[in-house]
Formats: sequence, structure tokens, C-alpha cells
Amino acid sequence: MIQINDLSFNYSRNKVFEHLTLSLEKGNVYGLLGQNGVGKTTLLKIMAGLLKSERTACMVNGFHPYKRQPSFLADIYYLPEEPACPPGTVGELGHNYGTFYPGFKIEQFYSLLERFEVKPEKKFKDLSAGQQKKAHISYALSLNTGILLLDEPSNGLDIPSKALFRSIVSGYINDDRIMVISTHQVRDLENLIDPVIILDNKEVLLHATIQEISEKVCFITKSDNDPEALYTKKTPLGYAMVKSNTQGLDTKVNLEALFNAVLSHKEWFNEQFKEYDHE
Amino acid sequence: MNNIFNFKRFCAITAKEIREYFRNYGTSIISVMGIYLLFLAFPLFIGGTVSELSRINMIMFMTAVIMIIAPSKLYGTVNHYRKGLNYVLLPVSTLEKTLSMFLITAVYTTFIITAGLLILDTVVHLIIPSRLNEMLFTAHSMELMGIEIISLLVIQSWFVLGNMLFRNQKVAKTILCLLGLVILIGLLLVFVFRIVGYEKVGLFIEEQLSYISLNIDGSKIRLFGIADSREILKAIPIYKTMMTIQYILWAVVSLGCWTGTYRLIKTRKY
Repeated sequence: MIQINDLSFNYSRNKVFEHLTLSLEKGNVYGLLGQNGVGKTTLLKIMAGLLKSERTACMVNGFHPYKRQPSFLADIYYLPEEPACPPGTVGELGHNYGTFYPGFKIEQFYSLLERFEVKPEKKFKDLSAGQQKKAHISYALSLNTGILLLDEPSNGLDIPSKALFRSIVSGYINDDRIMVISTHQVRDLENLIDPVIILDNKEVLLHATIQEISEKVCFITKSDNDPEALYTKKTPLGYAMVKSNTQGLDTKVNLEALFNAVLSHKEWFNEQFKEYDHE
Repeated sequence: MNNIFNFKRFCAITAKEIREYFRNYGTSIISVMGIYLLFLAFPLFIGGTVSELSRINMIMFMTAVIMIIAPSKLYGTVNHYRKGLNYVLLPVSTLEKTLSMFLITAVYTTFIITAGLLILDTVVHLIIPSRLNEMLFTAHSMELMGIEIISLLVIQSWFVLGNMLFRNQKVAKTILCLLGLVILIGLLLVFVFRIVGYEKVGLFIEEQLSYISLNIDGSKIRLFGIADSREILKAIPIYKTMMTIQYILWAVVSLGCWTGTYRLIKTRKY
């Protein structure tokens, strides 16, 4: 599991997190949402050991990530938004690097590449940006690490590949794994991420499961605007709104609308969700 | 799992780096060997010969170039914020990564280039023995090259550290730092000489040089170009002390640079 406890982090004078506390449990695909610059990538990098945190502020599987011990690194993988391409072929990435990970399965790597229609014998430099991304996603998933951190994985993927990505990831998760996906493209990952973590300046605005969210708020479309709605957006079908779920309606969570509602009613959400302790 | 050193992991990362070696550095090595071949072939066209000394000097120069560039060619991306991620996240300890880096840059590269050039030289010698006077595979040549290589390894360790320290233009910046250091040491010596007194220093040097025999063997003068002045300089009383200080300094500098590299691999933020 990942335990973040009273984490403070800054880039020179720019404070990114202040007393951030968060707990991530196995068996979940966490969606890490937030506006540009709130620290989504920084948080992932701290978890992966690429940035330094205080010894007790971030513990991953009982390790201090920044020590980058082999036992820790063997069970975690971080895929950046724009991964650098190694000089060789796609297949060589698996052969040269994958073999260091105990869970890596070369057959799975080739099978995922095939599903994404990427040829392993192709050189990275000869692939398009989207194909490179698919190759990296295939590699990341075939490592079978207990913790997988994906930064904007759906960026650069075409529409069929996004659907394929969702399908592959939903088959990937099990009770022993944690996946954290940082994204702006909430629509791409709807029905996949649960729980949702929304970061705002230096803190967590919302950390709740989809069920908890649907218990507290409902997502409805009406012909007339409702001034009591937490968030309203005019659509061709009427007004799509997020409202306090006082009537116990069971509605499908719309992540984009939720995200906007949370940003515009921070205190309301903070008050409503504080009963769910995920720290 | 041993988190400090595991022989199997060490072998695995070294094997991976050897697999990637020729893709990253093969062209440079082959180019250098091509240049050496041209160097050997050039006198054929003008009807001259290539002496043993100039061949050894050329081999050492080529080896120096390859050894100095090796860290940035082979490990230039290690501290890159994007390209270095696969390396840093590899489940291998920092000690294993550093030792493997040492094995590849200092041992493997040096062996490949020296052996390659010597084999090339021997092949050319066997084809046209009349233009290359002697074979280089002699005990004396090997000894001379061995000493040169040791000093090159010290210089290379500085470039390994520079490679980890700088994010771009690594070789140029490391050379500038080296020049800066030389200037600094020079200024320090001038300062010390000023305190001691230039006359006293001059007299001391003259006194030491007076021990050198004036009857120098011609074969030794021939090899001055590659610093085989040991036989002659042995006559100087403080020679042994100077050599001891030099070897200690070499060891300290190398160890310091490699320790620094280890620390930088361990603590680099991405």
C-alpha cells in the first residue's frame, strides 16, 4: 500500500504540497485528477522515488521510495506522460529492461503489443507518438508490478486505442495491485477509475469511491436550470447538473461534471465527504 | 532480497549494457579504428615508414579520445529527466549500477579500443612489414602503454563524474572544469613559490636536475614523447617521493570521482 503522511514538498520557493495525507489500498485503480500545476506528476514521482520526500512522509510497500532499493523498484513502475524512447526496437525494451522485473512476462508483452497493433521488431524512432505510447503501455502492464503509476496514459492514443486501453486495464487490476492514473482526460477513463482523488493547491480536495460520490451527489439533466445545483452546464439535451443527493437517487457519476463541481464548491464537498476517512 | 549487492543482478545489468554497447558506441570505435588505419596507410602513398613511437603515441591518443567520450556516449542519458527514467527505475542497486558502469567504461572500453588498435596494427604489420618497422606486441611497448592507460583511467574517472554532474555538453564542460582546476593549482603553486621564494625554488630544481647523467642513451630519448622519462629521472633524489605522491593523488582522485558518481546516481532527482 501507499501511505502518504503529512507530506510537504516544494520546488525552491514554490510550495506544491503542504501536510498532504493520503492512503492508497491494493485492489483499486485510483484516478488522480486536478488542474494543471497542482502536483499530480510530482506526487507520482514522489511515490516512484524520483523526487525526494521526508522519510516518513511517503512509504510505499513499507519502503522509503527515494532510497530506490531493488526490492522496492522491482514492484513499482512509473510511466511518464511522454516516455523517452530507447534507441532499439520495441521488442528489445522487453528483453533488455523487462527481464529485471520478477513479474515480467514476455509473452504478455508481445500479446499486448499485438492487441495494440504495434510490431515488436519496429524501432521506436520509426513509430508514431501514439504507437510509441502503446508500446510503453504494453511494457508497463506486462511488468506486472504491484504498483503501477501512469501519468496521462490516454494522451496521444486514438479513439479505438483508448477503448482498448480501458479494456486491458480493467482486466489487469486484481486484489494485489494498485494502479494510480493521473489524467486530464476524465472521459477517457470513466468507468475505470475508482476511487477518485482530486488535488487542489497543496491539498486533497476529494478522495472518495464512486459509490460514496453517488451517495452524496447526483448527476441529472433537466430542461430548466436549478439555482441550487452545485454545477450546471448547458447541453443540447438541457441542463446537465450536479446536485446534492438528498433524494437518494442512484445516478451515474460524470467525472468531468464532478471535477468542475468540486472546484467551484470546495468547502461543501469537504464538509460532505469528511465522514469517509481515506487517510 | 539483498538491496546492496547481488551478483546475479550485477551480471544481469552488465550483460544488458554489453548488449547495448555497440549500438551506442560501435560507430565511434569503428571510426577511430578507421582513422588509425588511414594513419598507417598514409605513408604508403608517400613511400615512408611509421615508427614504433609514433604508432604508440597515436594508439594512446585514440584510446584517450575513446575513453574520455565513453561516459557521455554510454551513460549520457542517465541523468536526463526523461531519458534516464528507465535506468534509474531499474530494480538494481546503486552499487551494482556504479560497478557495472566502471566495468563498461574503464575496463571493457579500454580493452576493446586498445586491443582493436593493436590487432589492426599487427595485421597491417603482417601485410606490409617493410613500412612498419617493429611489432607493437613487445614487453617494452606494453609496459609504456600500461602506464599511459593507468593515467588515462584517472582522467576518465573525472569525465565519468562530469557526465553525471552536467546535463548537456558534458565533455566540453568537464574539460573546462579540468582547465579551471589546473589553473587553480597553478596559481596555488605560484603563491607557494612566492612565499618560499623563487630563487630558492630555482636553486632546488637546479640541484635536483644536476643528478641527471648527461650521457643519455639515445634509445631513451626516442621515447620521451610518451613520457618514458622514468629511467633518466630516477637519478633525481626526490623522484621516488614524487612518484608516491602522484600515485596517491591518482588513487584519491579516481576513488573520489567514482564515489561522487555513486552518490549522484543514488540521489539524482528527476
